[in-house]
Amino acid sequence: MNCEESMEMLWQFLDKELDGGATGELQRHLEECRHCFSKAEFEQRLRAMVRRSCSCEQAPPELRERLSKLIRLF
Amino acid sequence: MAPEPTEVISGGAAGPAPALGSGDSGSGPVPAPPAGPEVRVRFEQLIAEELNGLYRSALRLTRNPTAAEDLVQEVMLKAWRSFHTFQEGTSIRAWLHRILMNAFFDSYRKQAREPEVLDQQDVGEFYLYDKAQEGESLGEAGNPEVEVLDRIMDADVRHSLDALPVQYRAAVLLSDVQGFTYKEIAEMLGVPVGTVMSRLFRGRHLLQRQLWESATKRHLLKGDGR
Repeated sequence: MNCEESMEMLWQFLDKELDGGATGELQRHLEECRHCFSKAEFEQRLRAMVRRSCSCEQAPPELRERLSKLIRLF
Repeated sequence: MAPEPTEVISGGAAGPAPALGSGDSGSGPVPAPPAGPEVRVRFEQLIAEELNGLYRSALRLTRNPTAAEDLVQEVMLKAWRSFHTFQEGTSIRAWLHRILMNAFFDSYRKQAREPEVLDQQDVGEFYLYDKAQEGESLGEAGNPEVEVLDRIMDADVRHSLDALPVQYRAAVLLSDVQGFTYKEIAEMLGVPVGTVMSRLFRGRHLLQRQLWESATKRHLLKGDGR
């Protein structure tokens, strides 16, 4: 697998949507290619950052209370 | 609050709503009816577990805390009415998100907005990484990729995601924030897996471009050097 092919599959790889064969090939390429490895690592860190940034808001307590009341009514 | 439509959620089986909460008076230790108080207790437990995640998704979709609360309330009531169709052993989070997406896009369509103009400007495969590598506006020292990520604040990420057209925003939200598979997302959005992938990849490109703009703007505001 060359750099271009591996980068075409990078997002599917990070999404865990590649099949076993392609995953193995891509992993081997990343072990050998410092440039692609660096890109993959960057994308992974960015992904973690997006997830973390959007995981801190809390539902208002009033909403929770209102829902409890509503499902008793319906 | 939005009126409660009574249509059946796609993917859920049609059928009458369970008669819950009725005939409570005089309830004793009788054998559990198909949908008795213990079902409600279980549902309340699910609300406790899933509410924050659902609220965050609603917030990203509606971009407005009041609208997000209304949407979550609508979704939870729909989920409660069709809780008997939920299949044990499947993901409750995916089930709730499917109801969420249906409810959101239903009302979105009803508001008959003009179709969003989708930006077709080419932004390259790995926009943010490539920009960081160019390194023009970054400090001399250190690792430019690390530096660009360090410069992005949590609020920048949320604002950048909120700035995406809704179809892309939904795909990125469901994958990158909520961690659903392509197949699950395809079912939630009612589109083929290939469409999910193209929206997702395009959405990520656009998100990276937004993030880069946030990062450079912050840099300018702070002056050169951190």
